[in-house]
Amino acid sequence: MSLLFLVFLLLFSLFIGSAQEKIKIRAVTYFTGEDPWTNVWQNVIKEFMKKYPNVEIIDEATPTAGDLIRTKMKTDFASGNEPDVAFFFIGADAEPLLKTGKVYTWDEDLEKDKDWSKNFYKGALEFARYKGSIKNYDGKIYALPTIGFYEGLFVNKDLFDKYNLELPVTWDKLLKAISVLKAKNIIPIAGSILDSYYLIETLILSAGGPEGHNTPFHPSWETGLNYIKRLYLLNAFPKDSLTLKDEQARELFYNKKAGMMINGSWCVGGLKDKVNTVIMPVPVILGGKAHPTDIIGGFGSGWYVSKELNEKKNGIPVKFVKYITSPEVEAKFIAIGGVPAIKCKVENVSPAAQSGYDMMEKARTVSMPIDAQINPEAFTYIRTNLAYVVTGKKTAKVLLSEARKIHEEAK
Amino acid sequence: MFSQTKKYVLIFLIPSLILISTFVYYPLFSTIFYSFYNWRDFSNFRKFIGLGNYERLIKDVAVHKAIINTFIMLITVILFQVGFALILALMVHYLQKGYKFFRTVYFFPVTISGTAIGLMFYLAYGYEYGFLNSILTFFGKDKIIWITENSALFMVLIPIIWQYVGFYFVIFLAALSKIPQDFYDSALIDGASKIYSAVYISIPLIWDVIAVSLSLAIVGTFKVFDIVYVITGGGPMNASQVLGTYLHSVAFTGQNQGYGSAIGTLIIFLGLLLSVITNKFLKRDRITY
Repeated sequence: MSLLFLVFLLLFSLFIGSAQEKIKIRAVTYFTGEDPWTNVWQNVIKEFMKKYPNVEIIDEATPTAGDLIRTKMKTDFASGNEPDVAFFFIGADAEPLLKTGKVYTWDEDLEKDKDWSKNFYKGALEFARYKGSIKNYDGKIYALPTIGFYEGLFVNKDLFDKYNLELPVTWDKLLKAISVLKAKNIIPIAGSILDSYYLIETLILSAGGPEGHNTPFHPSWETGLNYIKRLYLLNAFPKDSLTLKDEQARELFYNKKAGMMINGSWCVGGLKDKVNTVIMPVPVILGGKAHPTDIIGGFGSGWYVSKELNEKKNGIPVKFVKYITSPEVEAKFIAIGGVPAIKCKVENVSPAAQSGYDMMEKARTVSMPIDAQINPEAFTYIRTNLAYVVTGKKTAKVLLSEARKIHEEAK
Repeated sequence: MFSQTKKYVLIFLIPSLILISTFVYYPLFSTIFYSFYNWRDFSNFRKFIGLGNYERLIKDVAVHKAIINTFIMLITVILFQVGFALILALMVHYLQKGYKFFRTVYFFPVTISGTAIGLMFYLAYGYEYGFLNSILTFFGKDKIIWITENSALFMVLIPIIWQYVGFYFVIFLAALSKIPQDFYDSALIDGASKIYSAVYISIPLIWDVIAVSLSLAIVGTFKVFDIVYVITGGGPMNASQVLGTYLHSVAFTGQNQGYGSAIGTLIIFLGLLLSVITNKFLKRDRITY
């Protein structure tokens, strides 16, 4: 009898133990370190765990610097160690993840749970709709975008006012601003040739319009790169632009040492003067095919869920992502910066951020950056070898043909 | 009894053998294996391409530049890192007093991580806010662009040499302290100068230590990465590119692990080749005393 009681006690304690064991959710994002959304993300995790005490979110945030998050996500998926939830790039970087067949698709949830899905902007979801050769994912939404971005020309308007300069809405006005700012010992454009992502993308768009920009190795790409060279030869960039990193270039703009900067919406959070900064499209180059409102932007990242792990953990990963993609949580993220993918009410928007939203709203077309369209190795080759073009040691044509070869080989 | 001891020794050696095999030899042979594949995005899919990656390696201008830079670095490291450390050690050895002070001062940079040193020098070289240009501005001089195509390699070599001089200095100082004082006393009676004693007594007696240090410095040159990565990233225009930074750029930024493995294999091959050559050239009969 006592033995039976002991066995019962043991089983009961095991049951209690398992009932109390928390469901652990591994979440990989790049909200860490200097990332502007780090604090919001950490608070969101805490709030979710408070709401659902039986769930523990393990924050595996990994920085984007040095492509650490790319390496982590791809190796984790390839080795069967995929996280339950991830906020990761969409586009070319999604391909190796989708090839594993482990990524959850959202179409059914979006269809069934209208109370939740009605808040998404349809255009935003389209950025994560797969159009490629992997049949299982064809036409399906594999990630849920939340924070959108744009690239544009940031202008320190107070400096422009001081020197009676008009906003550079045309290429001629940009050239005039460069000449005047240079004469006043102000760096015209805080740009880095080393980290020339945004210079390449915006000037190629300016040269070729959305069609040229979105067609890999279109002839307009050569024109775009040659215009960067022109700006370099005009001394529009900092003197050490060949080795200057993007973070340092931004500081020059933030501290009013530079009049303009070609960069993205992620810089809005770091602006020291959010009142006198205007964000506008990069002016169209002479003979350029772009419309003056065409911009680079969109939704470059989204929330991924692991299909198998979601089933194993009773749908908690999906529940967590639904929580993050609620209008209330979205508002917290957007208050820091970025463009919303979900309808939400954001209060106290700074004039700088508002000018960015206006630019996005007025845009005739919004194109995803080149690095989301061509093989990463080919884009890295263009970026890291741009210094040869601007210093005249290689032509843009040769550089692009070399990059094209890398792109073709990767296929 | 002896064989029983041997058995225990073997048992105790096995764990470290397993660890080394797992974390050194397995990745090493995997690197060679993957270098024959078109393997990208760390994916589970890869295609055998034979010597395709090596053909690209031969034609790749960045690899040529990285090899030339590595050899320039190698000569500079031998001359200034090991050579300077030897001169400093000989001087401090003769000084006799203040031995511990110099040992601490020179060894200190070895304890700082390469990334921190790289960041420190990156901030010092900066054009707008850099420490060096602040000094120039203070004295009313014009700012200088410290890192250019011509100067980049030299500018990354300064912290590389500075960091490890202390390491070899301590090794040489320890070796010199083992030489009996009688030798120097006898040389002094014979009228030998300090320089003569250093060349004909000190250096020959610590030759085996110098040879090991040279081997370490040569192999170490092929592993240079952190300082170059932080200061210049290998640029501008591959001016300071070394094999380590180029491997990182190809394998991680470019997500081409197959070609990255071929560069890794080249690093292993060159490192092994040079250490074999070094050992052959520096081999001398050991002087016992």
